[in-house]
Amino acid sequence: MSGVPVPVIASISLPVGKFVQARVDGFTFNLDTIWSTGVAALVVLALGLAVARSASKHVPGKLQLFWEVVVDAVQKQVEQSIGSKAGPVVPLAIVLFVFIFVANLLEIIPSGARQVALPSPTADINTPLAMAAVVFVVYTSAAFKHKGISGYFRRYLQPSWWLLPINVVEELVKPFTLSLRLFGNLFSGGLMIMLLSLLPAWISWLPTGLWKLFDMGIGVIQALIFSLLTILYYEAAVSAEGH
Amino acid sequence: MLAVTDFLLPNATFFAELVAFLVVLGVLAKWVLPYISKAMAERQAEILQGIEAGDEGRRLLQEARAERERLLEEARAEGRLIVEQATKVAGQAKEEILANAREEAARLLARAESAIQRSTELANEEVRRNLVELVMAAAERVIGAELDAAHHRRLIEEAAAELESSAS
Repeated sequence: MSGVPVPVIASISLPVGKFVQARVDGFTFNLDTIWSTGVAALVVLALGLAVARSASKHVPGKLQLFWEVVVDAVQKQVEQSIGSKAGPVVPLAIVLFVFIFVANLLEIIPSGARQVALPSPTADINTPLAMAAVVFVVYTSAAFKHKGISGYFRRYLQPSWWLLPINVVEELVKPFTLSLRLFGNLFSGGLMIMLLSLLPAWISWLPTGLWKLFDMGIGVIQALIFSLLTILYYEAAVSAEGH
Repeated sequence: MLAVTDFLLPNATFFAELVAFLVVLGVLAKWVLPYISKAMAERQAEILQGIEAGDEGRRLLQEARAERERLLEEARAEGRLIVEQATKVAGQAKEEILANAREEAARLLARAESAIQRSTELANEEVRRNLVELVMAAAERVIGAELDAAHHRRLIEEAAAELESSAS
């Protein structure tokens, strides 16, 4: 076929937001997302259990060092912002960071031009939303525990009663902003890779490779932001003046 | 052309993801993170122990240095005391020796003076005796006659005594 490539690109339909789905009793499951999540989970569990089995108090190996850097960073952040009321937020923030980090990295693994073999699970809204739901439940239950039921609901009237609707919306919107931020970044990253794959093969490797390198940084930053916001939301939930 | 789907709406995958994440969270929180935290805490405790041991070592070193300085100062003070005592004893011995020497010298001088006195007296006696005999011999030669020896001896001795007293 002769001619410039523009018409060819225009005629291609990108699989944006399309998943390999299965319906079970009326419920729809994105099988590729579940498959990628399973791979990410297995990787994280393998990395964790491997370190736990050989954790040494002496000179740590590279893998243990990675875990210790994450654990130490989260612990310090939590100690600075929350102090003695840390509770379950430390393991939650650590697991969120590592899991999102690994899940985001799946995107850069070469797995086909249209990235269908191993898509990043965080590029599916279901995954960030599930994690954000866990975060919401954890910090809301912590707020109930530290402030009591009346104290929890009283904070929606602070600093004035007429701010009640804004406070409620602000509280309800937290898990959605948390999940949409991660989803948007990873989804757009995947979209960029799909767009770059439309270039001729002899040139597409360069921008695709560069973009995947850039996407690695995005993946780390997004994992960090998700984990950090979890700590901040938890801090706001348990602090005396927090909202 | 981009296909527009309902990819912004969650479906039942949400529950599968929720379960998967909770499993990962549970396993890591129960069987991984405690071991890592434990290893970190033990290492930190060892480091703190090492720092404390270093502090203790430094403290002991400072104590040992202070003790050494104290002992040196004591030794210096004791040395000074010994030197002072030795100087004092030496002075006393010197004074004693000098006193003994002076005493001995005085004694020797007195003995020498006494000996000189005796020698002088003996010499005077000898001179006197010889003088009498010479006078008598001279008188005998002059007068040619033998005089009563005892009488003349007495006269001569009186004359000698007069001479002696006049001389002294």
